Amino acid sequence: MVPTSAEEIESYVAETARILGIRMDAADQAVVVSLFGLLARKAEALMAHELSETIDAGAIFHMPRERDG
Amino acid sequence: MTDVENGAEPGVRDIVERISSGKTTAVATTRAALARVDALNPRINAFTAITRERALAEAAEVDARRAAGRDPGPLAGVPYGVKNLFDLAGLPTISGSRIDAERPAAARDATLVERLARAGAVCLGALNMDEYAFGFSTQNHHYGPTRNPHALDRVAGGSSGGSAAAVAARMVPLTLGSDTNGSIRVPAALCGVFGFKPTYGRLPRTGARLFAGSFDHVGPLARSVADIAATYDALQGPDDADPACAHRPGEPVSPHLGRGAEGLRIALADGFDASAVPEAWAAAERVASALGVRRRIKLPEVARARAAATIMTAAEGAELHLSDLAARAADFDPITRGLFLSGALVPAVWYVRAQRFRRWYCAEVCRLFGDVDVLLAPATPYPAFRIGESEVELDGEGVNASAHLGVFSQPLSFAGLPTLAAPVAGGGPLPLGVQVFAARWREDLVLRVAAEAEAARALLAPAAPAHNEVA
Repeated sequence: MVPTSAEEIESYVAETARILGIRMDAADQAVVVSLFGLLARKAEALMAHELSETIDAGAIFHMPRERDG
Repeated sequence: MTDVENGAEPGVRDIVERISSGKTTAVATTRAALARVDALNPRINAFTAITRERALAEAAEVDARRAAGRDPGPLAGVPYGVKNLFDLAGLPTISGSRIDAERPAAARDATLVERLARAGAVCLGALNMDEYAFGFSTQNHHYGPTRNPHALDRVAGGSSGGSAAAVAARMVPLTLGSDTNGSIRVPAALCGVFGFKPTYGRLPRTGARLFAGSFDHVGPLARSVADIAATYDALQGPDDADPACAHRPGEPVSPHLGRGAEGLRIALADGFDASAVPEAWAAAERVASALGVRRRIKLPEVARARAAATIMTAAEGAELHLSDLAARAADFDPITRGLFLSGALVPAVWYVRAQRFRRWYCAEVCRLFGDVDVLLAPATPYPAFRIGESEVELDGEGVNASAHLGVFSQPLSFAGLPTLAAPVAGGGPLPLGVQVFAARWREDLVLRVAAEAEAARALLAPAAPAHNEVA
């Protein structure tokens, strides 16, 4: 689910960019692989946090209305 | 003592008082402000566009209203500038980018600009920022870096760097900025001014270019708590054109500023997974001490909150720019290009998990405020770094100089909390700030406590050397 190794990230970045129609030169690709690696590490920490399945992701979009006091 | 009596450039309330009482005119005030912008901007690079004709026309209208015996407005004749992601009719809304500079000029003003005009304020122009608000340092590749008025070789912070620097250099007493992960609070702290990010959904963003819609806030920067409050009061009110804007009537805070902090439960927030220079915590502790605060409260899961915020803003921001990333990536600022490209590749499950975590985190933070009214925390982990510097050393390790600036601000905007960044008095030559924050919709408590700390002289917007050279 979360690409973590350097090879996995490199391959994921190249394939996903191709699907999205984004062309990158070698320099950009190196930067993006590095930055995506940082995001992957953050995602790994996030995924390790146990959350009840009853927590509704959609509810957050209604946060600003008159709720919450 | 007022700013004018103090020999300083007048602040928001001083200007309103002087114009409303006939001691000066809005046109004279505007001409003086334009002269200061002309003198200082070549060195600071805060303004990217100066709307001279518009400013003089708006000022003349204020003077005409007063001459006709009509109320010139609560911000009569106050010169201000806006981050260049706010629409100003007749100008392209460049959002710090080359790409948007090619788009047609805005047909009308952003809602907040309309509200400021209705209040009698006078728009002097648009201000520099990180491209599409993605950054903390305003080292803009296309329009140059904004320089910190306290040390011209240092960054102003970002992404509302022009907004903070223009106020710090006393070009204008008031600006508007936007804040997604800290983009009002970080530059306010580094430039030694007050920057206010109200509750998510309090102020409408209509006519402001979004960065990450579920995080974007807008708000004022100024040189005192009362100036922030007066402006915030003029900006409030619902707006159906912004789906995130709450249907709440205006809840003015200015009348509450004098109530003090007596009876409020205040604590220093802890639990940040953040390396910082000791002076950053010392600044927050000085403010706590001035308020008689000894209690500490630990925020829950702050590191994960920051991780989730980073993933979500990268993904939301990239989605907005996907077609340009595919068609003309080379036209982006090289720094933001990489950030947006990596955000475009974020898997949906990461985004949804981050959103579900956010729901949990908001509930936990909301619960915390059952036991405390107002919290304090550092605004940034260090003062302004040198322009061009990519790393800062903390505890013997290098951290990304720009990205790390958000460690204290990002977890608070993630929950949409109303937060003021305020300059702490008594530090070194480079400003450091404290964040004052409360539960959602309790802007009144934030500003009451800040007013108390300001009255105790723990908070003060220092005059910058760049300002003194002209004064």
